[in-house]
Amino acid sequence: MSAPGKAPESAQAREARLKAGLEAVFQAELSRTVTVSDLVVTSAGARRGNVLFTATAPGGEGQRYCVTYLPTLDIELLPIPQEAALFRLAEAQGVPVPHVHFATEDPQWVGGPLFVSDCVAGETVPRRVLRKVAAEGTGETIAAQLGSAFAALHSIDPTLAPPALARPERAPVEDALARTDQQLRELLQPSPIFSYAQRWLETHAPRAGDGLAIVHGDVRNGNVIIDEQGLAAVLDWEVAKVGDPLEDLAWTCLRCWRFGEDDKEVGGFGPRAPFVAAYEAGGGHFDPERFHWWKVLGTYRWGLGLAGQAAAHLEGRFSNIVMAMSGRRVGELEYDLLSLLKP
Amino acid sequence: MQDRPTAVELLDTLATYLEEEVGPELEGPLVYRTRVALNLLSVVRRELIDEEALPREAARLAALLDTPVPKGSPRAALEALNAQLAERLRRGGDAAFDAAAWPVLMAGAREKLAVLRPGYDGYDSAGERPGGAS
Repeated sequence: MSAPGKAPESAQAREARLKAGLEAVFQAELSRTVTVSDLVVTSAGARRGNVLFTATAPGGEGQRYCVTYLPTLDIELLPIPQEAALFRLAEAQGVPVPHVHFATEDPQWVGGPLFVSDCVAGETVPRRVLRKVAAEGTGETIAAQLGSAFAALHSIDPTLAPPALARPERAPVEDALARTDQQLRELLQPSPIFSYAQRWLETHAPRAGDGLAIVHGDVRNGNVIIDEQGLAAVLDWEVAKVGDPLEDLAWTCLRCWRFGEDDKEVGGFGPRAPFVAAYEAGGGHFDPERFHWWKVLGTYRWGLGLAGQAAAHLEGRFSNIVMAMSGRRVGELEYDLLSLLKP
Repeated sequence: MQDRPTAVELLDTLATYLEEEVGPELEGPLVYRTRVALNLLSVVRRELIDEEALPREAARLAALLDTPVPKGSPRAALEALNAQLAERLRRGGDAAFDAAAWPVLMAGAREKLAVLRPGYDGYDSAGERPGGAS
């Protein structure tokens, strides 16, 4: 753990500490004596880590696992044990997620809360995913699998959601508009296109929907594991919330997540028809007008998000070259917005 | 007037340096960040070449707003027009003005993309709308 005034920990020291912590927590949580080896860091965000590792019992065969943890006790978006509870809730309903073995808030093992789940084999890096999907011809299948996964997730009674999951203070549509209006005011320079979008969204806001559901909030290429059969698991549930189910479907279908496969509306994987058919077959209700509204909102929101990254860079809150370039990607979202809003 | 290399030629030199001398030495996250750096250079290069972009956009916005182009630098004039247009579109309530604004906004968006990401406007999401030919 690096505290102010202390030198940052080396990668080797961090790995040794993680290995020891995982061996101890397997003993404590599962009463299993294991040796931990072959650690692979898959994502090392500033706030949380995902590390794959092998746990081997004496004389036994090694098994791959994944640990998701916070390196410190900083404030969490969604507390790790509640994220683990959400995985279990989703799994029980048939949503493909890694099986969770245990979760703990105790910071003594790795410095912060953690949960350990199965390591699901497959590909997650977006461009490699799309190459694999093209080679194996699984695109339409994945579009349908995503529809089924959403139907399963949205069929869960939202009152069963872990208590820390964000819940809208008013209708999700109004909530979303209040947030974007605030972000619009905070832009570093006035944007006529975003102003046009905000106004359009307000004047075309859909009426109250079919009700609330647990929504994942960020299902897209990069947050899914894809194998030979298609969709193997949905990852990264930390922005899950209670909201409008159509918001979830629309976010997956934004052009910015297609990585160049622009004519494949569902995440760059496949067309809308099998996605919607699977969603409805699983009990979901699809409303094309509402879906379109959430696509406009999502495109606008991501454009505001990129502008916010550039502002964080320029104000020195979080400076790096990727954040700087985000400011020059806003134009892509402006174009997409105008295309969606063609009179 | 500065001596050669020109600003554009310096950017090209920097890009070649990053690509041919620095790039092969890198691994891990630096590979990705250096690719971002090269993209950044190509954006700046295209922006520098098109010296008429700001006055051209200011003229379009002034025509839409039916107002003269404000005095001052092209950048300051454009900022003032952008603020005025954003405020009017945010207020809304004038369908005819909104309809007239859309093609002007689109022309500006396409010009930005010519600098930011040439070819990105080759796909039109309009076909995905309800009633569209998706």
